[in-house]
Amino acid sequence: MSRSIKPTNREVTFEDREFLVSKTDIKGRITYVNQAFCRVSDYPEAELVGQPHSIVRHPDTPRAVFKLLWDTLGKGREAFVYLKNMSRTGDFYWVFAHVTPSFSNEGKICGFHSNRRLPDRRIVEREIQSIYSVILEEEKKHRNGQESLAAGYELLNNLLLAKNVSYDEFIFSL
Amino acid sequence: MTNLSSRSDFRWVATGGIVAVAASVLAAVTPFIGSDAAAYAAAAASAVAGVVTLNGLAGCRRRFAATGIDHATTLREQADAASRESAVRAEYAMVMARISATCQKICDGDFEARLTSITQTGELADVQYKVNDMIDRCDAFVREASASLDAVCRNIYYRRILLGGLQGGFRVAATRINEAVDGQQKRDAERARLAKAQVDATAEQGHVIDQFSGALRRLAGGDLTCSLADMPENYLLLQREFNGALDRLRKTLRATVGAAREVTGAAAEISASAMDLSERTEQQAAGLEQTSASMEEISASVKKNAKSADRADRLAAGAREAADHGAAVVASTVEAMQRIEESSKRIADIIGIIDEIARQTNLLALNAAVEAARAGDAGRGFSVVATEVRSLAQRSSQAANGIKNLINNSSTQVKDGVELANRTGLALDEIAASIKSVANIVADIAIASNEQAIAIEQVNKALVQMDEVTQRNSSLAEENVATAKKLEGQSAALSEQVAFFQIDRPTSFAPRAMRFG
Repeated sequence: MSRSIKPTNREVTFEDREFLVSKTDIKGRITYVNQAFCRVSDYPEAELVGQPHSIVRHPDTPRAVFKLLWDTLGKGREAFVYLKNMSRTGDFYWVFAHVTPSFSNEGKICGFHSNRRLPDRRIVEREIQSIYSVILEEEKKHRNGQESLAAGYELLNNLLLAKNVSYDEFIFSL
Repeated sequence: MTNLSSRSDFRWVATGGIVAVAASVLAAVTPFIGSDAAAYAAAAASAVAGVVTLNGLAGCRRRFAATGIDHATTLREQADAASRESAVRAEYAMVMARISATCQKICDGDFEARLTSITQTGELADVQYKVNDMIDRCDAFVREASASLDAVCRNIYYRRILLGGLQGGFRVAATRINEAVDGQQKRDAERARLAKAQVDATAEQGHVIDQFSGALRRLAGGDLTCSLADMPENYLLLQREFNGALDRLRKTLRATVGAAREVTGAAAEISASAMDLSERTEQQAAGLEQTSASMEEISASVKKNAKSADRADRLAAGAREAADHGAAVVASTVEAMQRIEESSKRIADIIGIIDEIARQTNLLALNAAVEAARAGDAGRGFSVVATEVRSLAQRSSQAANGIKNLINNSSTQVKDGVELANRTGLALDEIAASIKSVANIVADIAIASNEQAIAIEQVNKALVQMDEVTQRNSSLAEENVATAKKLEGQSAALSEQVAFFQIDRPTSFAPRAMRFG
């Protein structure tokens, strides 16, 4: 899919009762999205299913956050993460995603499930945005993708270390 | 109305199925959290599931029957309606089949099942979206609940079910589970607290036992400075009691040490003075012997005195007699003197006569010379005789005068002699009186000597008694010496015993260092 969506400054929002749900296979390809997801991301179901999840990734969200997310999921654990996503039109929307692995009857990870809530705006503005911008700035210092990711990830971990909490504890303390 | 109703029926059916699943999940997780809340939620969900499923299926049947009658008005309309109806029926049938299959998967526990690639529009699409929504909700809830409970299994309690977006029964069940997690957290914290308290108490107990046994070991070693300090609060009473007992023990021992020291000192003094006493008693015994010997000598000299006094008495009596005899002699002498005086007076008278005769003769011779001178030569011879006679007369007168003077002298001397004799008599009287006094004194001396002899006898008796007492004193003094020595030894042993205890903390390092150095 050729993509060169320019991010706009418009924010799309949804109701706090709504969940934006998606499922992916083990490789991160979308297998299911719910109606609310389609509406907010402005994609029809058909354009999303089969695509990698990064389709709604917004450039303002540091890559380190995704690394943390996938590292956690890879260990078979759930992950909570605040994400700034981007719609088909380049508009952004903040979600608070609860991502969990799905297990087969044999107990193996067979995919992932993401349930997105409308985040608390105050938390996003007061905590998340500032942290993400700092990490993003660090990531942008490096040309090499690997180094960039490693530097951002280290910075994220150092921020948590400075607060003396695990990532999950930090998220739940907000 | 119809469509809304039919959509509502599907929802009922789907909800029933999913709630049933939720119920079974809740029932499954109940043992994890051991909470009534989860069990309650599970039971409630099971009941609701049954009711809503039946409700929904009955409604569906009713509405399909009504739809058929409403659309048979005109033939064309009927044909169109028939074709539409068959298309609709086909669509319904397909959607129903999809929903049914999906619900079956959910019932079988496959939470991945969703209605995807929805090609229908309108109500049939909406129904499927709603089914998906319901499954999503249940799926999300089950994931949240199991993740939260999984965290609890790993003793993580901050992982609550996020209530955001959850409504109605979901919210109630999530709240119940969160409450159960809270309860579990509290119990866990309490258990941890109790376990820690137990560990602390055991450690504290160990510490106390260490301290206490250390103190007892030191006490057994005689160290009474082993007071307990800084005991944990629960053992302050033990510390106070132990330290109190130590304090009393220290006071008692300190007093004992002082007493032992005093007893030792006193015993030494007693021993010294007993020996001193013994020596002096011996000296006294020796002195008594000497005194006894001296008394015998005194007794002998007193007896000699008495004899001497006797002799002196006799001698005094002799002297008195001699004095008396002397007095008689003096009286005779005085008489003889008086007779000599009388004789002298008669001699003086005679001498006067002789002198007178001589004076007469002289006168006569003078007359004869005168007459011889008148007779001239014839008388011349006569005149020579007359002169001769005259010279003789003169010489006689001179001799008479001489005798007279001698007699006078003799008389004076006789007077002196009488005087002297008288004075001798007086002196003799005095001597006699003196001798009498001497005799009296000697008699007194004799009496005193006798009294002295008696007194000496008594003194001798007293000396014998004193000797006996002194002998007894001497043996007692020796016993005293032995007893004092024994006492000294025992008090020294007591001091040695007591010295085993260290009562006071050394004030500096010096004594300890010296002890070990």
